[in-house]
Amino acid sequence: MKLQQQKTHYYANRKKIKFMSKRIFATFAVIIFLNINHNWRVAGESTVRNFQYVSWQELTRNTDFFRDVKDSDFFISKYQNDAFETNAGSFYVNTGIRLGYLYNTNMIFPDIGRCNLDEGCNLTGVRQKVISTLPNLTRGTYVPRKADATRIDDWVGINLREGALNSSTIWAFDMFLLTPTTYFSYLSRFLENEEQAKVNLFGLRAVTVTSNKQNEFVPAIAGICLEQAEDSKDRSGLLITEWRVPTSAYGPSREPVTVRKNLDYREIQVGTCGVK
Amino acid sequence: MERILHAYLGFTLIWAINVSTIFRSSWAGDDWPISQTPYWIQWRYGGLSIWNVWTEALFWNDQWMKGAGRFYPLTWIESRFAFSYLRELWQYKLYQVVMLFAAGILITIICFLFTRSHTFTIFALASLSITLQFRRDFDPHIGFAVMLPSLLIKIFTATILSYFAGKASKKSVGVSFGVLSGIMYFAAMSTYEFGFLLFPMLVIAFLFGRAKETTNEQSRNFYLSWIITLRFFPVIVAWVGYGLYVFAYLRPRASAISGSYVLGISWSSIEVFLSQALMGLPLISLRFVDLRFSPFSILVGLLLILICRTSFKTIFNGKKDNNFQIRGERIESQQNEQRTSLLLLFSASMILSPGFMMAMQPSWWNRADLMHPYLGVMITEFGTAILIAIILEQLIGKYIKASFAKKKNL
Repeated sequence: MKLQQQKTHYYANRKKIKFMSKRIFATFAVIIFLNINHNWRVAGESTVRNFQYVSWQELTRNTDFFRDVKDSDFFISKYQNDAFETNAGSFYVNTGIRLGYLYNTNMIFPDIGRCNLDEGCNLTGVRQKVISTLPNLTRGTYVPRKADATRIDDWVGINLREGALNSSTIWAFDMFLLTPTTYFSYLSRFLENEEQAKVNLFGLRAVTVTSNKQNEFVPAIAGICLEQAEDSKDRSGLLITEWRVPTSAYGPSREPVTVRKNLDYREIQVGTCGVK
Repeated sequence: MERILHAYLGFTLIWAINVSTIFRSSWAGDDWPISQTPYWIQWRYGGLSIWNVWTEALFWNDQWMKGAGRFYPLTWIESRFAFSYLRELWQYKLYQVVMLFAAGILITIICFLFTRSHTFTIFALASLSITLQFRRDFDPHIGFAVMLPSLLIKIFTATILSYFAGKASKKSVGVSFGVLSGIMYFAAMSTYEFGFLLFPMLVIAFLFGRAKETTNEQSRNFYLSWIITLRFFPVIVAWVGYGLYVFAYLRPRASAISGSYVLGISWSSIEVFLSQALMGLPLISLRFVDLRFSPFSILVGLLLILICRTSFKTIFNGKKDNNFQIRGERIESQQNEQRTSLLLLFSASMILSPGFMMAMQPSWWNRADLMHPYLGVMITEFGTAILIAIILEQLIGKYIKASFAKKKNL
């Protein structure tokens, strides 16, 4: 009789354990299901910059957009950010061109926001400022123990030597996402004019990297619609198109515009025109 | 035994799949600038060599030591080498996955060493997969140069060594383990200063190790006094030594301590502390937008549920009279009630430390809440997994105990 009672209790106990285990499993199952989806989504959200990253790699590795740039030249760029791939290091490894530096505009012209062209305020001394800012990039007197003291002569140190930058060119350059599917970049050399930071508009080159298979618009600079310089190239699913400033130009509303030879650096504003 | 092995394999697989979602991510947080390290080195020095990477790491370590009074050279060294030689995104992501996976395996080993209970250990391993949550702000899983997994691996290794320092029957062996534990703990703190607050984990590990060598009666009276021994001395030296070096030497000489590293306390500290203590709870970082599912995530989710079901079945459904795996273990654990208390302390030190640190940093007041944790949240997640395992074991244990009591009365 007692054995029978024990057996009955044992089976009841097993049933309860089974019930409890099912509840634990159900709780875990629901949480695991929701959690993996959450992690999947958050991981996916970190890929928002991928197109910019890939475009930069494509632009610097697989185009000859920078064909006129040489070692120890300098870039000045509004959207440059050392926190991302848009830096002199990445540029060097991808293009083989060892820039003096890829400056953010604010490093060279810290007061650019308060210096308005309309009020007659000029950005002066581009070359002088580029060179005088360079020493800020040195590593100071830091030499690790047992390190070769000549190591201080890094690329910055080499460029700081007397006359090292005499033949350097300073370029206005930028690269940014113009639309979610189009990455835009331009390059134009600064005129040797220390009175005002100007670029030669006819020497300006631009390039778009599009994730679509066709260009949805024509880029414009300073209100001038650019013209395609050569056939677009399809590389790894990206459409790469080089653009230039036309001699007879029109604006976004298709009105004819006169192209000035030189342009103040601040006038380089990028826009779009419709495709013909 | 075969059932237990199946459960281990099942939940290890779930852990691996969970961690592998890292592969979907891109560079995140500080990984963007740090990933540029090899390119900067090549630009500055003309080429990439082990020496160049080494000196680059030392340069930045030197800057932060002298500037902010911080000492975490191993992060500089590890991250600079990792990014210099794992330049493809998939390579770096594989590194992240392996490190986080390893941290999970190490905490599982710790759980078993402390409890000798497969059920508890399996619960802890299973819980890891529900406490691990990627964060939208500062995320230590997919970003930040593997600093947190690296810290955890070192802390867990130091904890295991500390356990063996207490457990070794020969004093010389115990001291050797103690020295190794001290070295590993110093390495952990030198990876992220946060390790300094995790000292109780090593104390508890040592006590667990010692407890096996003494009777329960002694353990009630002498727990804390046990750490005053040559076996644990190296760990204390590492802890005190690091503290003195940073707080008594580096910080007073630092030239530019940023607001983020100034300590203080206010009423906001309480709110920050409490909010961060909860950050390891399952689904706490879930947002409405996360309830949208892709076919792939549904498929993976269902696969996980299937593995989970099989694994739980193997734990709960015993054969013959061996009706419940936990029964024998529970009876054994009743012999030492302090085990649970120590486990609670162990998990609490991991759960509460990140919030404690943030609560004392004015830069986090009015900023840290249930939506905004910081990197230490990964430590909280691991601690919460242990806490969930304790709760599950207690729940089931109580039930079994009640059943036995009834059975006895029959």
